[in-house]
Amino acid sequence: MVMTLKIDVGVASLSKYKEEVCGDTVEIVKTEQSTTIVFSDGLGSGIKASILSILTTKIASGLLKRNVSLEQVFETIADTLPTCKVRNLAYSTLSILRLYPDGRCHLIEYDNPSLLWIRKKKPLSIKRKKRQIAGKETMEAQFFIEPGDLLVMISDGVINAGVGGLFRLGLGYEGVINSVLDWAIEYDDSQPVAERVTDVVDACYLGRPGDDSTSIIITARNPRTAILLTGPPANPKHDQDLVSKFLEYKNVRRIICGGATGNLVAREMGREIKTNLKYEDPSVPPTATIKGIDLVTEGILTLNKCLTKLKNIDQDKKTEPLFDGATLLCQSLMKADRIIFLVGTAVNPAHEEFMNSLQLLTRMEVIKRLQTLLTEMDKEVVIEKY
Amino acid sequence: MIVPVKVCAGTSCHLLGNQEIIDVLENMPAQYQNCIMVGFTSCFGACEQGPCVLVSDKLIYQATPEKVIQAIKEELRSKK
Repeated sequence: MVMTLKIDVGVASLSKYKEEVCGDTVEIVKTEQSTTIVFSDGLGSGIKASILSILTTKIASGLLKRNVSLEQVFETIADTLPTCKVRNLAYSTLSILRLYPDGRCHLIEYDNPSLLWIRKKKPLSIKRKKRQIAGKETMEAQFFIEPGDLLVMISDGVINAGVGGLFRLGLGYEGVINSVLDWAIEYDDSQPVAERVTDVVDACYLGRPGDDSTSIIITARNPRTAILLTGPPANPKHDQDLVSKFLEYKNVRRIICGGATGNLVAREMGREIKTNLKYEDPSVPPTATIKGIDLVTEGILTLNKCLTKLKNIDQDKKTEPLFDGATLLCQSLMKADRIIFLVGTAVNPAHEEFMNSLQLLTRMEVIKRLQTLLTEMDKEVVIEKY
Repeated sequence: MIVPVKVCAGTSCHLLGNQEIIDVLENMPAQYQNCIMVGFTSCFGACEQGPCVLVSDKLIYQATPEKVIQAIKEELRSKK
């Protein structure tokens, strides 16, 4: 595998009007070898549909975690799940999409709307083949994606949004593609795009969805690297080397945590450091700006606060919409796939007294704890001491 | 005439009470509001003597609101 693609998945669902649960279920299984998205739409709506789609995706994701092949997973589900005796229909649909870090994709679809593939704002066609698996007629495809590609998985509630009302034939594939493209320009994350698409669907249904509707936005991108410099080096003779090291990386997000560190970098770069005029949060000193650096914050207090925020982050991995240094730092770390910490070990004697009385963690201790947390979030973390 | 006032927003100065000075500066009587330009700056490198405030080109160590107001008044007087 040469290319190492990162896959971002955003999921948003709407329940049918007056239903409390959504009959569509999505499971994402991430391993080192692949990212697999399992999507099921239970027949009808409400709790029955929800239970069946949950059952389907849970069985599939459970098997996928044990490295069972897609075909075998599909076969097991097709054999296990009941079929409606009256309508001779399976009780739930199923799509499984597996994406590998080299861009290879393997898709099996059963009864769901077709997966959409968008490259450079234009839809691409996916060559599908019919394949019988456990007596069910499925569509199968193998294709390669590139960085910047968008994949859109939707339930029939999205395609049919507004049918017989706002639109004669519903939102349709073209309407979905246009909505996705409109929002994808605005956001560089999958989740808000998925949420905006369901907003469009809700509007098409005039706020009373006629069916459970789910949109899954999958984006492929190159890994994002952030480099964070904090603390001056123990030996001031190494100032220049440390700043050179900090600046030598290309296509990375550069972050500085520390007033003295900011001054040091500004001096070595021959640039001005400007401290922002507002305390966004009274407990976090304001950020600063240096031309060419993405984020400049204060050091110890911001790092400690960032650690607390990162520990308390919710399941959706969303930070509060705040603009203080700690929140901005938290967001930058969350967005990165690989983080390089360059940690200067010079000690500021004036800080030592506060550190104990305020129970603040030392710079190195915060960085180590951040490393543990970020590693748990599947990020690669490197620490270099100076 | 405008007197620039820069309050250090570094770790030590923040913990040593720079906010008290900021509050006072932001709520100065109207006659002073138009004569000062308040801003923040990163570490002056005098962390043990914080909070530090730079009034025009005069650096005040262990600054208090009173010391800062006094320095602003002196600066305004000298430039009249």
